[in-house]
Amino acid sequence: MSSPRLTAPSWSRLVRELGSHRPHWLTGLAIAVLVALVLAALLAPLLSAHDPVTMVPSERLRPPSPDHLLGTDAMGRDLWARVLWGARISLVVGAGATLGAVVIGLPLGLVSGYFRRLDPFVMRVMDGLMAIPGILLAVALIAIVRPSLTTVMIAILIPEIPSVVRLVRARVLSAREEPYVEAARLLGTGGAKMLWRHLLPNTVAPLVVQAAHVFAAAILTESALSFLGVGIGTETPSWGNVMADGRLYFSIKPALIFWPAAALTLTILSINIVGDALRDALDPKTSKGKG
Amino acid sequence: MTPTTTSLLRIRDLRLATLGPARKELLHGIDLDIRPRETLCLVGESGSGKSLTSLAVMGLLPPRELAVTGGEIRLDGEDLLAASPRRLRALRATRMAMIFQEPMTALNPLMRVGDQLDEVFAVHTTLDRRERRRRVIAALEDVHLPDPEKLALRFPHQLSGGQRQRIMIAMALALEPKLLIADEPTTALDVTTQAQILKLIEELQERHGTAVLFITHDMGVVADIADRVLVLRHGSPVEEGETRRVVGAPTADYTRELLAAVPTLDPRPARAPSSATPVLAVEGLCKTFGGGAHAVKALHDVGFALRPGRTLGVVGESGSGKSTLARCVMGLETVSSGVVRIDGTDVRQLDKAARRRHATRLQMVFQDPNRSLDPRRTVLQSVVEGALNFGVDKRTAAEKAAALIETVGLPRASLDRYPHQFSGGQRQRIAIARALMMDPEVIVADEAVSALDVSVQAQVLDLLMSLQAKFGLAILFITHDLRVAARLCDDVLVMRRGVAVESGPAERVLTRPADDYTRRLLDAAPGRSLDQAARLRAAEASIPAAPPGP
Repeated sequence: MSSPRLTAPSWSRLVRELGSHRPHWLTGLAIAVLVALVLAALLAPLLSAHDPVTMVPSERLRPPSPDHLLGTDAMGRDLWARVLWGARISLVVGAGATLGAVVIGLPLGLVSGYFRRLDPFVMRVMDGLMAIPGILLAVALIAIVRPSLTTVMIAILIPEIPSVVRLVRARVLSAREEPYVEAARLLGTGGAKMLWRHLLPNTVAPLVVQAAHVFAAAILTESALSFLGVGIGTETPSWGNVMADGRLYFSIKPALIFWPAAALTLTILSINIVGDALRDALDPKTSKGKG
Repeated sequence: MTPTTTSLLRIRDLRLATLGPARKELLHGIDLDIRPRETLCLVGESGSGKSLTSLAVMGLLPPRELAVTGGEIRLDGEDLLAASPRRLRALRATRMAMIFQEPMTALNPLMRVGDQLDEVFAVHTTLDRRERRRRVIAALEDVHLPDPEKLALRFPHQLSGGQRQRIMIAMALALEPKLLIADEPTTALDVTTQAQILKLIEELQERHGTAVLFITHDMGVVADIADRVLVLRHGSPVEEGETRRVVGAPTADYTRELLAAVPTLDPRPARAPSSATPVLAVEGLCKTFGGGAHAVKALHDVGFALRPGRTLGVVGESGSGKSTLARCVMGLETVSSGVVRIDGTDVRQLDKAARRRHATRLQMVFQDPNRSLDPRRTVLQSVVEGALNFGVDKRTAAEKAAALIETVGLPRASLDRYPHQFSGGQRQRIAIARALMMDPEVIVADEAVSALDVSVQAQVLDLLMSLQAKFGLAILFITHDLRVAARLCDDVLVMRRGVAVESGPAERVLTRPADDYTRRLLDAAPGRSLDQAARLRAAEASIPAAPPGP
C-alpha cells in the first residue's frame, strides 16, 4: 500500500458537512432569491432598457407600462432600472464590508484569544468601538472623508469588526482548553501552527454564520445611510436613496418606496434564513449526530 | 420461574425502536420481574439498552425519537404502556421514582434543596405548609444528612456530590414509592462515597420495603448489592439469575467475559526492581492555585521516581491532586515549587528550544477519547503532527504512522478517517499511537481507561502492557480505580488532598496498606466477593485443561 495521503485539508470535512445537509424548503427558497438577486445585479444593463440616472422630464411619474415595468419617478427615471442597479450597490457594499470585517476581525480575534497578553489591548479597543452606535460612527466617518463607494464600505465595516473579533476570541478561548489542543502542545505544536491547524478550523463554522449576519447588517446600514443622504452620492442609485427620492411623493405614488423597500426586505430576510440554516448545518449537535 | 402474581414490576417481551426513516430496533424482547423488597441489577456495557429499559418503565422516552413497539410493562398489575401521560406523572412520584448518575444536573441550581424537596410534597399531597416542613426535615434525616435544618437552606452547588445524591434519594423516596429505579447512581462518585450511598440505598430499601431496579456497568457493584442480576447485551437479555449463581457460575459466555474483564484487586507480581536511573524524577513538588485567602494547595511536597520499563500508579479520589500532578509533570501547569527531572535533567534549566525537544520525551494519553483528538483532522494528521513539528519529512512520518497504527491494533486504512468514525476504545488506541510517534520514554496516562467499558478497558490495558514491554516505556498511570492499578502497576502512590499518603510496591500497598486512608479506599472498592468468585473460578479452571476465556 502506498503511504497514506497527507494533504487532506482540514477544511474538506467542513465542506462535506455543508454538502450532506438537506435544506428546508424555505432555505431553498431563500437561496434561490439570493441567486436571482446576484444575477439581476450582474445583468442589470441587459435587464432594463433604460439608464437608471438619465432624467426625462416628459416621462415624470408614469404608471407601470411595458416600457417602464414599474413606472418612473419624479425625475422621469425608470424605477425598475433604479431598483436593479440599486441591488448592485447593496451587494457590493454588503460583500465588501463583510469581507473587510472578517479579514480584519478574524486575525484580531485569533490573536486576542490565543496570546493572552495582547487580549486586553485588543478588547478595550473593541469595547470602545462597540460603545458608539454603528450608524453614528459611520455618519461621522463619512463626514470626515469624501463619500465614495470605498469610504462608505469602510465606514460600514468598522462598526461590524467587534462582533467578529468577539466571536472568534470566544471560540478560541473555549477551544484552547480542549484536550486535543493540550495534546498538540505536548507534541511541540505552538504559536502560528496551533492557530492554523487546530483553532482556526474550529472557528470557521460559527464565523460563516456570523458573516451572514454582518452581510445583512451592512446592507441595511448602507440603505439607511443613503436614505439619510450621507451615503453614496445621489448620482448612483441605491435602494436607500431611491426610497429617499420617493419619500416626497409617497402620498401620490407609494410604489416609489414600496419596490426598493420590498427588495431590501426580501434580501435581508433571505440572508438571515440562509444564515440560520448554515448555523444548523454546521453545528455538530443539530446536524446528523446521534440525536 | 418467578410467580408473576407476586412481582411488583413485570416486563414481558419489551421491544423498543427509533422513530423516523431509518427505523432500528434497540431492545429485542426484554423480560424481567422484580418482587417487593428485591434488588434487581440490570448490567451491561454501553449500548446494551439498560438505561432505555428504565426510561421505558418511567415513561420518559424522548417522544419523537424512540417508541415502545411491543410487549408489556406492568407495575403492581397496572399497564404502564396504556397509562395516560397524566396518570404516569402521578405514578412517577407516588409509586415509582428514579435517581440519576449526575445529581447536579437533576437538581435545580437556583432553588434551595429544602424547597425542592418541599415541592415534591406540595405537588403530590394535600399537606399544609407546616406538615410539609416536618416531612422535609424527616426525609433529610432519613438519608443521614447532618444538621437537616441548616442543610435545607443550601443550594445544590454548596453540597458535595455524595450529599447531592442523598438529596436526590430523599426526593425519590419522599412519597414512599414501591419501586426505585437507580440509573448508575454512584458512577460519578468517589469509591468511599459510593460505598456509603450503596449502604444507604440498602438500608432505606429494608426500612421502606422498596423494590430497586439498579442499573450499572460495574460488576463489583452488582456483586455487592443485587439479589438477582439480568445481563443485557445489544438490547437482548443474555443471562438472568440469583447474583451468587451468576457471579459464581455464569452460564453465558458473555457474562463470563464481562466477569473476566474486571481486574481483580489482587495486585499482579511486580517486575524485578530496576536500578536504572529514573527517567522521570519528581522532588518536593508543590502547586498552589490562586493566591491570598482563596489559595488552594493542590499539591504539597510530592515526590517519586519512575524507572524505565516500570509502571507507577497514582491513585486517589477526586480532588486528591492526582491529575494536577500529571499536568505539572507534563508542563501543562507551572509548578509552584519543586523539581521535575527528565533523565536526570531539571527541565527548567534548559533553554527554550531544548526544553521543547525534551518535553516530547513525555507523552500523555487523556481521559476523554472524544475530546483528545481534533475532530476536524484525519487520524493521520493527528498522529504525524508531532513528528512534522520536529522536521521529519511527510513521507517518513506517514510510513511510521502506518506502522504504529498497526502496532496499536488498527488497520492502516484508519489513517484516512476522522475521529468520529471510531469507537471510544479505538480512539484511545489512536491517541496512544500519537504518543508513541514521538518515541517517548514516559507515557503519562490520566484516567486513560476510565471512560471505557470493562471489556474495552481490559484490551487497552493489555495494549499498554505489551507496548511497555516492546518499547521499554515507563508509565505514569493516574487512576481512581484500584482494580486497574492492581492490574497494571508495579508501584503505587496514594494521594489524598494533595499529599502523598503512602507509596511503595503495589503488592505491599494494595494488600498490606500502612495508611488508614489506603485501607479505607481498599475497603470501599466494590465487589470484594467478586474476587473470591474469580479465585474459585480460576481454581476450578486449573483442574481441567481449559483455561478461562480470552
